[in-house]
Amino acid sequence: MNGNLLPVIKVKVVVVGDAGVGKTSLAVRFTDNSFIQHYKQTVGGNEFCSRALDFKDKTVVFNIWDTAGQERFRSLVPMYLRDAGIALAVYDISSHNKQYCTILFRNPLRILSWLLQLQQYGPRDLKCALIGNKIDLDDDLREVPTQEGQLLAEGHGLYFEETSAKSGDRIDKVFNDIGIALVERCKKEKRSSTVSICDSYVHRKKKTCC
Amino acid sequence: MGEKEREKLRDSIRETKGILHQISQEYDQYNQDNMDELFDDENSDESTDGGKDSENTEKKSIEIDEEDQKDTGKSLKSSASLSDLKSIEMKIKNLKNEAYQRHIKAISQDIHMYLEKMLVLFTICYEQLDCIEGKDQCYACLEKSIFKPVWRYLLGLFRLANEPKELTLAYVMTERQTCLPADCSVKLKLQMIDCEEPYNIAVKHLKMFPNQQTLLDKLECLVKCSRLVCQCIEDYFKNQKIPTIGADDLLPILCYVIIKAGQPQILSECLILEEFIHEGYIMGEEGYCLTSIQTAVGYLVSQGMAT
Repeated sequence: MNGNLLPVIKVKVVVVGDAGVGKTSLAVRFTDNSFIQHYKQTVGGNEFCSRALDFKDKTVVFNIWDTAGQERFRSLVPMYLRDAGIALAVYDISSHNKQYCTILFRNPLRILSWLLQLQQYGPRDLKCALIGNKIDLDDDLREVPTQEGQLLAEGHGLYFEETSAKSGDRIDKVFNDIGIALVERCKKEKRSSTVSICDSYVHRKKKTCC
Repeated sequence: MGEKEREKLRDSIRETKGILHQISQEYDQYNQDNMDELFDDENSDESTDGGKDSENTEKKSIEIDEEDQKDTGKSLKSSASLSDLKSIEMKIKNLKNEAYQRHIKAISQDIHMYLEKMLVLFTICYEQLDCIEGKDQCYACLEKSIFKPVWRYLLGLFRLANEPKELTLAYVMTERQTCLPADCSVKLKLQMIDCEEPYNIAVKHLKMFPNQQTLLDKLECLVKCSRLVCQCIEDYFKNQKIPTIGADDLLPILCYVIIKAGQPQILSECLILEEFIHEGYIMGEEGYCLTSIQTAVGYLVSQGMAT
């Protein structure tokens, strides 16, 4: 492959969402699938996922930062958002996982609070995507209709997709779409990878997180 | 009882110091500004008396630099009734904190600048180093010689600035020294109930964290610690399906490991790492481990604050 010759864009992808919606599975599914090109950094541990995809004239390395979804870690999530390029807000389309379903809030409302947190604490140029996970489950377990997610995404101007981390359905499509958008954006701004690193540095100086 | 008395005494001494300090500031302020309209007998008496005593106090609180003293001088009214004491104390505390933050900012900037200068010098001497990999190499070499001599002071400053947080963390650690993974809400499957000392190797490794010499070694230590946690799980589930460890599972375990390791200064050291570790590392696994540890530490501190 000519993968090594292409200029590389590294991007930090933060995955947020409630506990049990499948954040980790999504990250692991994406990095373990040998799709176009595959590399995994970790040797001993499996908590950090990274994978490179080749696009027309660029290689994009997705460094996936999984976060903890439990309520008690919620206020600390902004720490993970520093220098993030992409945030995936994941929700569970089903009511399958009763343990994590709160009675007061239905999933769409929960996801809204995540989106607000991303907007509030994320870097200014953070691109968010809304992901409805677990479409492999039976239709009668579905709690959130596709349209509802779509509407929410449109309202916030987000990319939207429904996936299944279990079967791997449409996971690669999500990252492909995001990667294409990213390459386009880089072209527009005429930035090489080195410049983007410097930029993130400047950004950090201005906005240090707690 | 003796303890209580002593504590009371300590409190009152601190309060007196606060008053003295304030008076001295006012005295200075008065001298500097020569504000005649404030002149009245009562005030001036009080100030001159306090002025002498306060010299000692001032020496003790050298951390507060002159600029701060001017600030308090302006903002404080001369009547120091008991009810004001608390607020004055708070003000002093805040000013102290601000001063620390200012020092940290200035000193960090200096160090960054020197690092940058050295990097440029290296690349001037040897042009081939002017690429991402080359700069990484330079940085790795420079790091040791730049940080070794200043490390003690840098750490001291960061620790002073984060003293309340570190104390809280130390308190939480002491209180929970004998806790089990279950107490940190680790998933049942990962609690390793039948293990004598679960996650022992990770705890042992984290204990060595303050002994590491360079920043990169310290970072490496944190990464290794996270990996050891995963390895513990792998070993435990040797003949079964090894569960995937995500952040949902990792953070509670890290909380447990941090408590067991009992090194409150990890809080300040992590902040230094965050400030000075090269951008390239922050994006990748190293940065992820650092952030995870910091999140766990932050969570423990917030727990301590709540109780």
